[in-house]
Amino acid sequence: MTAACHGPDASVEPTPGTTRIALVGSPNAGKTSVYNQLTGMRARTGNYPGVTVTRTVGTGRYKGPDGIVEFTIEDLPGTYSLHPISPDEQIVADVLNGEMTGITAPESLSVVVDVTVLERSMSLIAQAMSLGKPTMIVLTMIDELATRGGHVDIDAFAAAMGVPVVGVVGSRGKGFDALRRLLAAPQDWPRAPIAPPRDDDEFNAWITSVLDAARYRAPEPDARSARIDRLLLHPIFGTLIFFAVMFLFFQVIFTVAAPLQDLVEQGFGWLGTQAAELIPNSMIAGLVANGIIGGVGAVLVFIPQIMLMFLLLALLEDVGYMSRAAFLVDRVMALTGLEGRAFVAMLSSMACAVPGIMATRTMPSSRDRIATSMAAPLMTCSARLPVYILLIGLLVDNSSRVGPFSTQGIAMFGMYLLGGVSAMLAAGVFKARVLGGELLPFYMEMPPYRFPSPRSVALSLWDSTRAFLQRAGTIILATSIVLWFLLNLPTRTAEIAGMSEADAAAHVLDNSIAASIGKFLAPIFEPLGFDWRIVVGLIGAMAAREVFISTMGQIFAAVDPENPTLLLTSAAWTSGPHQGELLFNTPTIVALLIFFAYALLCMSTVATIRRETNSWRWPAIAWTYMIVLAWVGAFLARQLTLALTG
Amino acid sequence: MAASPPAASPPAASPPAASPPAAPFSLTQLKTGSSALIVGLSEDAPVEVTTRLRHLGFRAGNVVEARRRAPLRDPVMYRLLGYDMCLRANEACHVSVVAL
Repeated sequence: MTAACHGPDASVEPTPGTTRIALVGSPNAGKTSVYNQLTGMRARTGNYPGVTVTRTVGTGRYKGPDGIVEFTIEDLPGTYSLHPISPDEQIVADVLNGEMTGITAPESLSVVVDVTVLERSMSLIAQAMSLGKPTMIVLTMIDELATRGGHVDIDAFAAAMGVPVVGVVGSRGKGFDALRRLLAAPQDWPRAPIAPPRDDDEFNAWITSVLDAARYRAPEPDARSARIDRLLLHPIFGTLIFFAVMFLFFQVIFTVAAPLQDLVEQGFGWLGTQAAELIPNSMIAGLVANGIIGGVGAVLVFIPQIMLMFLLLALLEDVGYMSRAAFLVDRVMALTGLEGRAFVAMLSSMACAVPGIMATRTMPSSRDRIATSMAAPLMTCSARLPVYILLIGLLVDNSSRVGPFSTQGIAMFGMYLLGGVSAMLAAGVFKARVLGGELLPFYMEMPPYRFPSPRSVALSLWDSTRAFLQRAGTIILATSIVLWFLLNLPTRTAEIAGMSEADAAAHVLDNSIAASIGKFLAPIFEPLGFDWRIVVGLIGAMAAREVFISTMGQIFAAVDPENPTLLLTSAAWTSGPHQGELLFNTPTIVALLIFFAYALLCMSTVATIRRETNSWRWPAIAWTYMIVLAWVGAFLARQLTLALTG
Repeated sequence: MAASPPAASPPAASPPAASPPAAPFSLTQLKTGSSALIVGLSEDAPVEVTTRLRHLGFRAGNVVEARRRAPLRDPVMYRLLGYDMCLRANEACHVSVVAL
């Protein structure tokens, strides 16, 4: 998240004067852990020129008898084949062939292969060796091969292949000294270019001869995975379990997080009060208490929820359940023209569209990635949640019930449903009408179930949480401060002299810079029933949806910041044809809900789409289509509600 | 570029020699839980699709087992060369197999 923000720049250039070795391997081969072991924390990431694919380059060191030798490792995207059919694979082919502008071909190759699927991987090895560059083979997961009753004679395999071979255990760092020694001197590797096979029979015969020579015995099929799959992929039970997992996923996020959220909220409340009391200057006290602590606090309240969501996602992914979920729902996703893996991105988008859009990187087709990125922001993300809670709280009474269910809960479920259905439809429209119908072949490897490594779960949890904190610390902090100034300037000290505190606050607000902007834009939103104060809230929400809450708080709760809801229910239009009418009446609240469901009010999402697609075109398209949907949808919803409620 | 693989004597591929020729059928028709021998890939399929299927292991001479079918019949999880790969009928239909 952090390093990738830099985009393509000099940081991903290989260290001058060192040999450059490219890591080639299929997804799940353990390439990333080999790369991490070799380069330590010296990894540099950026984008390949003109495409969304992350480029990862790092430096490895070998302490030899003649001193330290450095070498540059380029971790290429995972691929099953060097004959590209997707843009990511095109990158691999272009880099290896030296056909990518600005990037010279690597001098040598290291093919990373999961030894438990060596027979399958012989195809990729043969393709890599046919490039005629110095090549070596890294066999990963040699420990798993042994525990599952398989065998390979690494020296005999190297002799049969005619190139150096090293066996490693990526997670435990075993075998890496030998690997470093080899990587430090690729010029010394024996070379054995292979001609591409003429036909399947010749190719299979070659594979058999090599594997026989290496006395390779394939591991027993993973019996545990097969047993678990019998249940989890069962047509009926598997589907039921899938729904149960999804249901529990949201239950955990919403119920377990609630008490933690209360704690965070209380903490910030206390902090705000302390600041207001301790800072003598009332202007600065207001800025710190309401602007900074209030604004950022309103957002950090969601930290427990976000962390839980990311923790669950990381666990499901690392255990191997995400591939199963994708398998189960693939047919449904196919209706929208997408594939099962888009489901993972959509699910993550319920936490936040930012990781959701980043999760599209696992999909081989760039069209699918763009279609998913265009649709993902419509999923009900956790930033919409506080806004929905506030608005639904205004709309229906807390105690109202339909049968045994709370009406508020049903309304909330309806908003989630609306988001999900809209996202699917949007993805379908983008895939079919905008991006064109070219279908990439779908293939998805089903990894064996594995116990998640605490380190990798902790890493991904930390990465996502840090990204969220950064957002709160930058965009939301800045917006809160700017909004506070806009709402409180000019100070009009002379005019408010002698007024009561509440009247003074109201007078300043009514004549503030924010009010001028809001009143200027209000006519656009008047058909939706929004007055200038709501418009100011929406302007703040353009940075992040949650800011709407704190802005409404600042505007309506100038008198009583502890209880903004009460003031919202009694707020009335202050001017114009509706003067005196209730501002937050049912049609307007419904219109606001719909507006928030569709509008792309999130700078982080815009920035993420920009970064992932490497152009301003797609974020511009996403923002525009969503604001149009939001306005039209809110207008129609308001008219419909007006007609229904009389 | 060297002419031949560096491996020792390449033994002849051993096709199921004496058995009577079985009628090939599409991989999509393979029943869940049964295995079949791949005999070829459709000539009509786009070449990039058949190339990819070959590289994934779906090539003549390999044995494939249909292990699980998704609840809505598609995709299907196949096992071959010691790993599990899911294909949609859209791609699996290009693979011809014969019963073992």
